[in-house]
Amino acid sequence: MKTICHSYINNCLVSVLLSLMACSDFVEVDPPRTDLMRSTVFGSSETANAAVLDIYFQMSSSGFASGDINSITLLAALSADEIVNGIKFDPSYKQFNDNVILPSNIRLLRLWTDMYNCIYKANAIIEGLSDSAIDEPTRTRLIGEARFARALCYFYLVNLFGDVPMVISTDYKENQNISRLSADQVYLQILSDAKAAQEALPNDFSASNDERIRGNKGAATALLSRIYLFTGDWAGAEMQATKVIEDPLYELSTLNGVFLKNSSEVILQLPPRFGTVPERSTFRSYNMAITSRLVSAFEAGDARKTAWLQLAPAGYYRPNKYQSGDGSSSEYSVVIRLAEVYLIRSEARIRQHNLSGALDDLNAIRLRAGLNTATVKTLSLAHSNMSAQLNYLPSGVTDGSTSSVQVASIRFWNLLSQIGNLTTRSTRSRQTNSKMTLPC
Amino acid sequence: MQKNFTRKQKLWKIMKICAIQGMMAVLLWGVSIAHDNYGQLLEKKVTISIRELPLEEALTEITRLTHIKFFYSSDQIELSQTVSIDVANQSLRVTLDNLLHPHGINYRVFEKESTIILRRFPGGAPEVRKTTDLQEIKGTVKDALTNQPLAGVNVIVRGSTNGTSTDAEGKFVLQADQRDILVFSFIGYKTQELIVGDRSTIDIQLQEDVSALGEVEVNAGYWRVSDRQRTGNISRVTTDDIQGQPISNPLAALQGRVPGLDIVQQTGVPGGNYTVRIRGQNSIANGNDPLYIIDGVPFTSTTMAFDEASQSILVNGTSPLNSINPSEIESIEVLKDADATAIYGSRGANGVILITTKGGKPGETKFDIQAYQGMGNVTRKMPLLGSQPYVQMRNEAFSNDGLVPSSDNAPDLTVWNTSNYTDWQKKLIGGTASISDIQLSVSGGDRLTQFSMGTGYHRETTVFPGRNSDQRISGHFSISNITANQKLRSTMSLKYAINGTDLIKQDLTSLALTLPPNAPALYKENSDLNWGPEAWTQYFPNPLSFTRTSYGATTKNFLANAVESYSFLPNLALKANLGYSDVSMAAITITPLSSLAPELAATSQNASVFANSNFRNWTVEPQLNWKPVVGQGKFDVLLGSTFLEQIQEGLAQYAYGFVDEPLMKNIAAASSIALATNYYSQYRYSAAFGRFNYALKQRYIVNITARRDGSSRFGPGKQFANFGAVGAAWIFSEEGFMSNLLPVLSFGKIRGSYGLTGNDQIGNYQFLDAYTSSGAYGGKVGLTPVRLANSDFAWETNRKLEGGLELGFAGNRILTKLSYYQNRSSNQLVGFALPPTTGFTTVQGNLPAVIANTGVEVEVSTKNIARPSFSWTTSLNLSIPRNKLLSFPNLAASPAYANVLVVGQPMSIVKRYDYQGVDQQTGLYQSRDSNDDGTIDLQDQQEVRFIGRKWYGGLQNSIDFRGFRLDFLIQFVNQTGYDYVTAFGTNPGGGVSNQPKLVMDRWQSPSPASIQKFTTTYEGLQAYKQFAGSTASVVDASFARLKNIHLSYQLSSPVLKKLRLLAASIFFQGQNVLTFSRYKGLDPETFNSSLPPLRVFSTGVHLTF
Repeated sequence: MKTICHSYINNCLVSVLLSLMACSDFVEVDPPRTDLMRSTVFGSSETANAAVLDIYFQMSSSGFASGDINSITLLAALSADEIVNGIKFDPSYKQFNDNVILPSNIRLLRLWTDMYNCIYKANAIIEGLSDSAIDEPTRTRLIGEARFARALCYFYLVNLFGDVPMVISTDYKENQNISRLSADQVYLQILSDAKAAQEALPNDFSASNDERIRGNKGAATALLSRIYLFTGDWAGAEMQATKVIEDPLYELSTLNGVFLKNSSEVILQLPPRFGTVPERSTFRSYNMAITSRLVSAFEAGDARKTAWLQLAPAGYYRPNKYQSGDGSSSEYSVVIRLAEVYLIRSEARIRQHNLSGALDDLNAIRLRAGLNTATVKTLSLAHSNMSAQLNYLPSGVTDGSTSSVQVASIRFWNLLSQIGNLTTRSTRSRQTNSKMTLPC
Repeated sequence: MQKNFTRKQKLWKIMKICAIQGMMAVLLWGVSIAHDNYGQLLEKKVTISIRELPLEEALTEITRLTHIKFFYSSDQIELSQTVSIDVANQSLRVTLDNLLHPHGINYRVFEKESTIILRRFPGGAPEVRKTTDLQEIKGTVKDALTNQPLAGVNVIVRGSTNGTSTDAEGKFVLQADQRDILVFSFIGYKTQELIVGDRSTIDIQLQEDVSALGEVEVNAGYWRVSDRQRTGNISRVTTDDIQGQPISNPLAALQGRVPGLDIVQQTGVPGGNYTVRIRGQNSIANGNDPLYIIDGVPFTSTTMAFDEASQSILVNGTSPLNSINPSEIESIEVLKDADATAIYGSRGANGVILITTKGGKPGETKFDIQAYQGMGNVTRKMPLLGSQPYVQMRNEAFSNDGLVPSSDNAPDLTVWNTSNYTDWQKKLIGGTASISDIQLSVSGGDRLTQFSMGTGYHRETTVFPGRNSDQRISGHFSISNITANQKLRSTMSLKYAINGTDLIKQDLTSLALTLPPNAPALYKENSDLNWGPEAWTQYFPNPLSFTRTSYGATTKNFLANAVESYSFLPNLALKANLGYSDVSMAAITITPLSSLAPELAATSQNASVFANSNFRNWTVEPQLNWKPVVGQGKFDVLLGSTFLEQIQEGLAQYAYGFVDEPLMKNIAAASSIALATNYYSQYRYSAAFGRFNYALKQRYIVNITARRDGSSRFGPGKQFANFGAVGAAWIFSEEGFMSNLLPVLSFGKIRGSYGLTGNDQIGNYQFLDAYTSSGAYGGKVGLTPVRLANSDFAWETNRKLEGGLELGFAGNRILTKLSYYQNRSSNQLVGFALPPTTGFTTVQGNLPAVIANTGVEVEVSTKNIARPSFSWTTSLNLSIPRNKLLSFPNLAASPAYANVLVVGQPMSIVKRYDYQGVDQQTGLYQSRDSNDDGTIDLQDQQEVRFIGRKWYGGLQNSIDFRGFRLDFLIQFVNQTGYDYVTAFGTNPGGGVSNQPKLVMDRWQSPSPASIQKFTTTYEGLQAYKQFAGSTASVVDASFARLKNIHLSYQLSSPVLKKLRLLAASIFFQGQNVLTFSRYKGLDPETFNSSLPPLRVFSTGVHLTF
């Protein structure tokens, strides 16, 4: 017994003494089971696909494209005097209303941060998939989607802020020192991304179970037509718009069907995160009212006024395009839809002096709204009224599309200047004048 | 027992002579004899020649020559008897023998005090000892508990200088007579006396004496050290202090008692959290909580609750220590300096709080029962406007603005009855909380095995309307055993507690302050909640609607630990400490439709939040301890290692659309569920540590600790780092020369330490380039990048320097402890600011920012009266901390800190507008346009104000008088805080909101006033908001609080015998009894935001049998 004890104790002693040396293997833990390493994420098509989904998820939940209280939809509409801010004491909104936006404005910072975070994600996907071993068609498609998202972000950045830093990698050590690049240079990158996306993306919505919730060829083409329009390539804009308009996948819907899930008019839409489209919550709970100027600009008989606006109990009009608040997700937040493409082509045709073609496109929208067809004459006479409608229509705040109202306003001015032949103000100068300061 | 009693009686006689010196003598009895150099005093050489003089004069002369004081009782020693002596350069021993022995007087030497006590020989003059009567006595001295041999025990023949001390095996040999009495004494043990008789071998066991002053042992974590010999700064609060308080959280028991420990209660809601800082804020961005260790097992310092579920009722979740029953605690040690904390390496930067729970003691089985019942109310209320002045204020505001009140802008004036009156503070937070507590425990054991087990129940209701409560049921079991061969010692303890929280969802304090006094009735006549256009609406929710919401949580806490120790040799032991803890919490918050205004309910759904979290932790710590004694030096060497793993996981979900309110706690009854939070993290930690302690002659002590730490929180190559400290102490009062130099000084110690600790309280996995799930999109879940990855960061480091001086006077009746510290924490782990264009706004990294915490801590304790039937002790502690940000490279560019911190200022500053007073023309508050840009905006907040404690402390008194015991603690804090304005969102008159009475001193006409005019305008609100953000809102919030009072009566022994009880007492206790403060807001501890701490009175009984 004694010897057994002794050897046992000796063994114990030795093992304990050995264990006194803390071992380094012990403190190497596996990644948390809630996380994956970046290298793993892009190692399989399933997880790489999930990384791409996250971009849309961000857009739909709280991002610049969501329609929520920090989105371009609201902020740019405040700046464009289409919406007045019910929360008059919130200085961050007031600054947008007054068009005196200080660099310290928190909503400006959120917008800026949100878009660059989205760009980071896109860059990470493009980098991660560049040498990934996943199957080629998926890889091509996912890179295409990332480039589409990147193009969309930079498009808004350039239009809101002018010259911006162009970040196309994920290395923060390098990127933290990048300074602003001229908007023209950034547009080159936007164009190249949009073209690559158009090339790489599928024509249909097969990648998203036939829901119109991921960027496809149509979305890239529509974006491309917008880019050409904004850079003054009228022929390019018309050509790309025509591709979308002629695609049987997209056709104008009834007014009540535009903002529904899988509407035929929609090119890209985002399912709401909590049942209700964020834009609906924004306009219901923050007392945001449509300005009387915009309301009174509706022509008599415009069916859109009754279909898309609502007289709130407090006596003001508010957007009412998204009506379902029951959490059934029958409505999706629209990012790009066909009506805008018609108007892009309409403007592009005016620029190329094809007025009858332009009117065809414009009247497609007017007829759908229950209005009579416009002629060159009525257009110029009623331009002030038209302004509101046009503004409201193509990409305005109540449109729910992500294209900013400020951007819309720019287009409105451009369109008016052409149609009414009133001014020679150039696109560029107007854009430059309306740029926001960079946040700090 | 009987013997001790008689001894005490004898000592009492001596004390009569002079209580102080007598006490000094008694208390240092052990100390003086324990020193092997006794006799030194008697070796002094004297030359004296006295003929036929009174004894008194002879003694005076010797005192003059030698500085030795004599003490005697005049009824024993006749001072007037004449004596003669004539010696030249003779030792004092010979001198005294010659002088005193012939007169039947013996003497006893107290070396350290240079004191000699005279007394009569019991049987007259001593017989001249014949050397032939002496025989050799042998024996062994052992520890009574461990049966380990004790080395260095003094064995002397009473009344003589004949003595020796035991060797390393506890053996001694000396010559003694049969009639001699042997005195065995050893520091830290009770002195024993034995008559030799006809024995030639005397084996004896000595009992440890923890009560002997200076021999208090403190828990230093991996070892225990006598308070006297410790080199580091360790403060201790014992069960005596904790038990006298009607509290449910151990942290509450520490408030005001420990210097350097700043504890702020965040809310008076039961279960609420505390902010705990040991010597200030060390980290800019990361954890500043101390490391909690309960019986050797690390415990979580972060709350288990989710914000989603608990935020509006509990400010920062629940305190994890809520599930520790204060009654089970034996002691709490607070480790502060490098010497004490460096052994905890990367986790010691913010200090360590060690909680030791009770174990069994040898002796008859004791059954202990304690119960109390109490009631609590909020400590303070704010004087608010009544209905009439309120209505006056509102009307005046409208008339000032030239407006007419309407149902839109002033329902309080036009819709509600203006003559209604409700005291909302009384209605909503004025209830009485009932506090019940009962504790049962059984403990006992024999020399080999001891056990303790018990159970407790604590319940507290709230001061809010409704029948909500927080309760805890807890149980513990501990057992320890030592084998008969005294080699293997095992200890195991298990603790389990269930905490049940059932509260309303929201703290009603803010409503109680702001609801207009004429707000409508709460109930309709049919006892339904009163809603309606003329009553409460969604904009002014009926405050009782919150009583229909609930926050319920169950926390279960299991703690187990075991210690196995095996002694190979008397001074070499192998030990392993094993621990496991598991805390889990399940919380449900419900917001039923019935709690909402009907118009809101129409478009809402029944909504619940379900939150579950779990914290698991295991630790294994093998150790080797070697304690050789070489000559007069003692070594204590410890080598050990730690393996630790912690897993934290949690899941919180939102659930909506319950059809039935009763089913709202069943997640399966929800029609839709959304994820709020889901986390899982694993933390692993391993370390090797060592301690080398050397004490020479019990007065020169050096302590070296070192630790090599590895933590999974850091990236490859950065996981390991070294920490360590050196501490030293010199007990200079042990030096012979001191007793001559400064006889009044009974204890003196200088100590100092310097060392390096670290802080790894950042989240886990921060270095990983990880993706985590974001949310479902189109039926599939997305993966989102978590952060910008930087694997190069490492620990925050904290260099601590400390110096201390401890002095005891008049036999340690006055004890003072003074310490000074200087801590520098650097290598700060912060989110480095990045331009958002990088995708994220920060990246984790080490910033060479430096924070300095310096301070002075003072403790003074005095025994004002020390008689068996009447004693009074006082202790005072005071801390004066200074916190300063020494450097922060490129602070201006940091988005998170540029507006929060200023180099050269404390961490807890705020930047404020420069308040200029009420504008005499406009009647509005005015702030200065500091940057002269024409507008007043955030950029004008340039005035720096400190928010925090400048100094704080506590004054404790304990009085024992014939069975009565009175303890009371006064906590005092000198601090700045936020003024009352921060409790009110709108300016006086500006909205449907009540205001403090003091606003009636408002501006009315161009004449000086301190309150702005009543107005409803936007400008008025802006001016008020700037006022609230100005220097005017930072005010002195100093307070003194009678924190705790405890009065008990202990039944006397004859009564106890009749009742067959060992002990019985009845007690009355109070917490937060009185608060003295000039602060105008609600309470100077919680300020205005949350329920103030409660004033609690309770009475109870404590029986032992």
